[in-house]
Amino acid sequence: MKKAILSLVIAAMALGSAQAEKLVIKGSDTLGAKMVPQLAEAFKARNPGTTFEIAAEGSTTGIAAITDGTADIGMSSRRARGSEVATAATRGVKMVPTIVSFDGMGIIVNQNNPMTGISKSDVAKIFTGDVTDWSQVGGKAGKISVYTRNTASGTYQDFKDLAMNKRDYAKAAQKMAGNEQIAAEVGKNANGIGYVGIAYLKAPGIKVLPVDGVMVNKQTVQSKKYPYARPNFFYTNGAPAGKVKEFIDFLLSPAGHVIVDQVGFVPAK
Amino acid sequence: MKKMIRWGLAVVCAMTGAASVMAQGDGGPLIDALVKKGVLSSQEGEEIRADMTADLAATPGGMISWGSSAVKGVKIYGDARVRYQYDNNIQNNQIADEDRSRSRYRYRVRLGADYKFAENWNAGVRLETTASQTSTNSDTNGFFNKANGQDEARFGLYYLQYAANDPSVFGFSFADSVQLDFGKHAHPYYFNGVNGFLWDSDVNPEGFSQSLGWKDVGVSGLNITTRAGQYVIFSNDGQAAETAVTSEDDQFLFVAQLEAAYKINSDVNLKVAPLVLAQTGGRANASAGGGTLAGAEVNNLGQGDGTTLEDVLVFAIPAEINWKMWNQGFRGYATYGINLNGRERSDALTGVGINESYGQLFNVGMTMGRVRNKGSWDVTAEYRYVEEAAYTQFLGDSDFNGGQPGHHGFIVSSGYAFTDNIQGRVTYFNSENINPNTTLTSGQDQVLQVDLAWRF
Repeated sequence: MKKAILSLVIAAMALGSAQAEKLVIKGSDTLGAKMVPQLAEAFKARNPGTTFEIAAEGSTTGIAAITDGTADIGMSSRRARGSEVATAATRGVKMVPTIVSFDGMGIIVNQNNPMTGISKSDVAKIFTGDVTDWSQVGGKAGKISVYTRNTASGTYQDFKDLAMNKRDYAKAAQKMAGNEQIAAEVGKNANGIGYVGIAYLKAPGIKVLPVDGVMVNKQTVQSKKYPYARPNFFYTNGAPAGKVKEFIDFLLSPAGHVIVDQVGFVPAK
Repeated sequence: MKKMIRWGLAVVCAMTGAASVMAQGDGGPLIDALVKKGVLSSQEGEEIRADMTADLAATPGGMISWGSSAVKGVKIYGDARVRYQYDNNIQNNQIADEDRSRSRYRYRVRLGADYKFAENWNAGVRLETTASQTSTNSDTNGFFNKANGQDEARFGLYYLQYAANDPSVFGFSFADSVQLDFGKHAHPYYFNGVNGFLWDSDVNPEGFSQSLGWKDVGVSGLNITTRAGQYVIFSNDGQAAETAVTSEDDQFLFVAQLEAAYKINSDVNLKVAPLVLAQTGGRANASAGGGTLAGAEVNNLGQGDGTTLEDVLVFAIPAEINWKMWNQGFRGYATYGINLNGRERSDALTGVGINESYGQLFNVGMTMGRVRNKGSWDVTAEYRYVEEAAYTQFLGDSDFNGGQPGHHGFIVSSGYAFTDNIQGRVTYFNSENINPNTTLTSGQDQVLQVDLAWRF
């Protein structure tokens, strides 16, 4: 009798835990603002027993969460650094990346800015502070206001690596919490310049500058012609398994690709 | 396929000695090229990259984890030195036939790490053998007893530094360079002479230093630098006031220096850097009891408190000129200084009016050559004169009569680089009392040092 009751209790607990299975996802604001929440909603609709906890506070926090074991998935718009992989390894954590989408960091200026294009060299000069006036890069005279992401952001680091030859940002650069804030500030400031993901290129008051004649869009990102294109990642501890694997498989399925595409990212194919 | 490429990348990296690729640890450029050519998919490329990074992390070098992603670079450095030292000290009241000479076999080890953070911030720590504030030497007498207190290391440096070019506040650029050091750090001041003369090269201050620099001020080649520092010498002295009749203040050191360096041409440059150095504290207040300090200040100089630097207020002008001749570099240098508290200090040390001269100091010297790379050498000769109340014995060069003021004499030194990292040096110090009426115990002092040092 006692064994029967115990079995029932265990079975009930197992059923309860299965029904309330929660995926904890932390990291990139770029991925966590739109794409992952919408994917989570669609996944929940197909898997009613699954819940999500999503915290989008920057790629660095996502990678750290995998190392610390406080998340099932670490969202990152940048690659994990060697030091992060090493730190994880010392704690017995194996960082496994899965490319979930591609993105391009578009160069945006105010819509009233007369510039119609910009070179990679001038982008580097502006964001490092070597150039501080638009007239120095063929624009209308005016002190350039540089807007960047904050230091916890993977986009912040990726842009340094891809566009600035890993040099430091200009001291006067203003650090914003997310893509939307950058687009909003540039939209208000006639001398502003910043970078945002493809999903944010249609914000009001801004226009996008082609870089060395290449406009950022899904085709140029996919073909890797656009210079500031990059993959986005989910990091897991070891190969994805269980519900995590199911969620990633869904993301990489045709149904997931539709959502990825709708929110402005390039699906990983 | 993936495994083959991974091994192929490892072999290519090893055979080509592609240091940057290996240091990066992920074979990045090669993987990018293979992905672009369609040999690998993006996902396969990432998996290979992650595997290689993880493999590198499992190597001894890769296992080093700096704990913080804020650390952008680390430089680990160190040096070691063995020294034979002969001392011969003749005291003013020496017992007849007393032999106060001795030979010492000494060594020094220093191990440090400099950490570079983002945005102009740096930090550093250094462990070093040390027996006192002015020395990093230990005696080699631990052959059978390693617990004899000699083979100990302590922190010689721990600091946080901000260093930037073209600093600005609210968009206003106020200098060409700025450096702020906080903690126990290398002092930023210009002094000349063997072992730093007025600031022993083994002494690292604890506190806060600030430097501002301007280039080409007025004329091309004229650089101006201002430096200042506030340091704690001794704290918690006030504890004694609660129960004792007298109390000492906490003691501080303040330094301010203005340096003008002018490059006349590629072969000739000169530098002048007047400074003020003040030590506060070192005094005792008569206590009214109950922890209330009252009454006139009483100078505690000469009360045997060896933990204090005692009061000094020194104005000094160190200067140098460098030039080239016969394909060799030459440096002529000199310092003149005066302790404005010299009279008071002298009276306290030796009795009122005993010393006729008390508060002046100077050195003058010349160096030929410079020890840098393998085969390079230098020779230095210096004359040094430091009156008895002119300076503190705890800050000046401790090898010249134990750092004790009241002596004059000469120093000769010569060094040679056997390799780029291994150097030999021989230095001889000879000093004697300036004032025959002195109460100093040490009369004459000769020191011979033979060094072999290596950096790593």
